[in-house]
Amino acid sequence: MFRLILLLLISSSLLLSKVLIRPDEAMRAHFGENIVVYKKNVLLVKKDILEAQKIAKRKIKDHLFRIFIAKQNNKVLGYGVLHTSKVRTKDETSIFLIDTNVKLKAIEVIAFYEPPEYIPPKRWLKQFTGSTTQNELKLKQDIRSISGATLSARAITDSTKIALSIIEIAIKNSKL
Amino acid sequence: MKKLTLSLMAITALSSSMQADEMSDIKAQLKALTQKMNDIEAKNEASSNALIEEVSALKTFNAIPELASKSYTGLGYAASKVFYSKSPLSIGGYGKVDYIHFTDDKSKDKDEIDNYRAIFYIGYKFTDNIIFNSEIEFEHGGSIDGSSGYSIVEFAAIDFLIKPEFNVRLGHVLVPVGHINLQHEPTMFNAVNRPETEKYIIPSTWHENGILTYGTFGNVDYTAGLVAGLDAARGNGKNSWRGARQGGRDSKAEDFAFVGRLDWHALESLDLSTSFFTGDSAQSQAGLDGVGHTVWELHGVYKEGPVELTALYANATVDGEANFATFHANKATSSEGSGYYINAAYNINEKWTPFIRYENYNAEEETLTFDTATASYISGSAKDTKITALGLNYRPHPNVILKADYLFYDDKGTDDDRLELSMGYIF
Repeated sequence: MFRLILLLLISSSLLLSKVLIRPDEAMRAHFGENIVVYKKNVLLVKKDILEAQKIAKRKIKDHLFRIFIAKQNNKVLGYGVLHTSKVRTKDETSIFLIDTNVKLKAIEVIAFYEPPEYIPPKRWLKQFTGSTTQNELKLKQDIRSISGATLSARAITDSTKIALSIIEIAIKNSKL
Repeated sequence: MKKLTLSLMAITALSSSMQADEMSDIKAQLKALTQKMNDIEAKNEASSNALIEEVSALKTFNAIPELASKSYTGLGYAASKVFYSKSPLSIGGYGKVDYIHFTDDKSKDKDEIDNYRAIFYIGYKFTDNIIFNSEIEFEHGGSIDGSSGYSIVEFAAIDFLIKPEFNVRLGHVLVPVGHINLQHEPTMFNAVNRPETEKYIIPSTWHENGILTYGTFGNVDYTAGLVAGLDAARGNGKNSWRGARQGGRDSKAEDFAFVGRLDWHALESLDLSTSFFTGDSAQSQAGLDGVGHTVWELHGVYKEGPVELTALYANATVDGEANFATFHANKATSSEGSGYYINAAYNINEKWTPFIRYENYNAEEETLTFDTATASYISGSAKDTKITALGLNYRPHPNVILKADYLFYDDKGTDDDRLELSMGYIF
């Protein structure tokens, strides 16, 4: 038994990256393989942040956002917003993939520094698909909690609201 | 720019009274000035963009060090990665303080307010694939001579993450049986106390030394492994399973037990699970030959909108009941127990949740007592315990919970109702 485990441990890649999926890979997975991914740093001033906070109904601590833009034949297909939040004592960073109508396409967890058993499963993340800034996204009502990972559920739900409102304001105020 | 336009207008107005060569000189100067201003503007924009890019890169690097490919501090990439990598230590915890007021049987039970649980998690990531996680418990206020409190290690195991389909957990582990045993934080269930079916039929919190393998295939998660068996010399009566736990403290390892579990995510809103534990529990002790303990259960969790339903059925048996009874002479030993509960909760909003839980269990459905005076066996059975809990949860913060419930408690035919209040937290 132990020899078998040892063999498995040695033969498997123990040097896998902590990054679960790279942002550009996440963009291609959801906007198509043939897109070109651009990176844009969007700096929102206090006025923009206040506007976004009002929509998100969450406090937004950042002013600077790294936004990935998916383009095909020079046409923008959608955006990817990186957002980091605290789970327990450690952070998680996710990318929120949002189309040009500011509708959420998908969420991919990029990096997760708490024990991996608290990573929200993909089937749980799916329930956010189609969300807009109009959706309240209340945990335990609109959004099911995750058994055994309450804190991750909270972090992702709040980040979704923030990512959607950031894109809405960035488009509205011609920052994208 | 406005000033520039004004100057231009002034110059135009003056131009009629100026000499042609003077005019062209001023024009040239103006052109040079405009060029200089454009240069400054471009330079400013370039430096502010560079600054934004640098801050943004630093932010990303800080959040996900692995995404950065640059070398910092003049070290090679690998070295600087270690230097800047997130601290591998992770700390968390949960706990609860309960108040119980007995309304019926005051002769037996006295009201109490108990610092029931204060628990700390400590995790350490040796590498991305070798991860330690632990839970250290102080129960009933911790341990001091003569108190009922204690401090124990509830789990302390290392996970070897190999691939999604196959991982290994080694050390002191939570036995993966039942619903509550793996999700026992107070924010995870509605009533002040855990269902008693998951206390006497499934002896939660159940933890033991051993090895588990686990993984995911599509919509199904599995766990399978070996842990030190129960110890039949320890438990009897209602505690025939609960009392037989070794808890990883110098666990006898003459007998190991098999554990297995399947969690099927049948629908978006429905999870169905089943788990079992079976193994000899004689641990090579004289008189306990052939004694073995088995526990199995089925449960489902349904969550749709504000509705949450949980239902569980559990069954526990002991093989070799004659030897089991003889060993515990003059005390009842149980060879059959079962129970079920249904919990329904409705989240009115993110803060308020009323709930109802009904449970019916019997840890002594079939008992056997060896009477030494007559050298004979006496079989028997106890009545069921039926508990209806009606209550309310209030969450001032998602990770802080205040609970109140009233228990209509039918203790094998005797009323033992109680009012319970609790404060719980997780961080």
